[in-house]
Amino acid sequence: MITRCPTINFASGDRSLQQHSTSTATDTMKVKIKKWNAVATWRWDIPEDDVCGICQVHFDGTCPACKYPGDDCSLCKFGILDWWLWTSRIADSSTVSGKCGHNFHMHCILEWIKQDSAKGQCPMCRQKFEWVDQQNEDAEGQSAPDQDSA
Amino acid sequence: MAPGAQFAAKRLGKELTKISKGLPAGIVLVQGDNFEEWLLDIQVLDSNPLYMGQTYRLKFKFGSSYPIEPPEVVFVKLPDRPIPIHPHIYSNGIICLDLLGQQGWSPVQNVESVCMSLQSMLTGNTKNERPPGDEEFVRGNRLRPKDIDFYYHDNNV
Repeated sequence: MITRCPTINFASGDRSLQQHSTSTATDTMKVKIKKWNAVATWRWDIPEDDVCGICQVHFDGTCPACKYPGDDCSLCKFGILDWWLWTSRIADSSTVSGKCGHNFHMHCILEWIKQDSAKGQCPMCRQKFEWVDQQNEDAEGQSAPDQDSA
Repeated sequence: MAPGAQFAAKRLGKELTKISKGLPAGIVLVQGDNFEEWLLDIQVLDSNPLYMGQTYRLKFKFGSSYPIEPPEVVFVKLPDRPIPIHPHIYSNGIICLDLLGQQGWSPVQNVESVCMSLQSMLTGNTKNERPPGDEEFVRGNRLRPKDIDFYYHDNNV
């Protein structure tokens, strides 16, 4: 995660800075921002204490198969990525989460669902595990439980 | 370490952390210093005369595919740890419980939830008997519990 703060370059240089530190409140320092870097953080739109039921790791962490969250662990989470769209033989659309409302790391649920004994069922509720179709969801304005944006 | 084994180890590490913060009443971790085999003691807390005052030793064996595949769970007989009498528990400690088989297992189950299921399996039982065919099974069985094809027919106990 990037945690750099915005960088401000003072147009008037060090001298005016020094002046500012000794000046009164009525004086104003002229500052011209020449460059700034925006920083954003993100997290999954699911309850904060929710962990992946399979690996027991928080969704802000990676699944045990990966080292880094985010782009380097691109398959770890449902949604956002079109990885599923391009590679999946199970679903033919971008996916976010199970229709039953249960969330898992992408790697974790894939490990489970490929087992014959899983019978295609959600490990939590044993309903048929169906991936939420993000595109349809957007088109119809519907939102799945716990997941309406990712 | 194979990728799968690492998955299992990380998951078991998570479980150990949670266990170190406390287990439900009647469940004690006796040994959990590796990611292959753990020992736990369980007790039935109500006044069921079949199990009152007894402590039972459970052995969990985890494969590299845990928790995608179930752990192997058996009761272990020690001088002070008998095998609980139950129509689904063989006298060699092997347990016939769908939850522990390929068909009934779910990867959201864990050591704690399995122990609690076994506690409640004992609590709810009133039959002072072994499974049918116990003697022959115990004499003849050379299979590991996970390779035995149990037929889960009884939903009452």
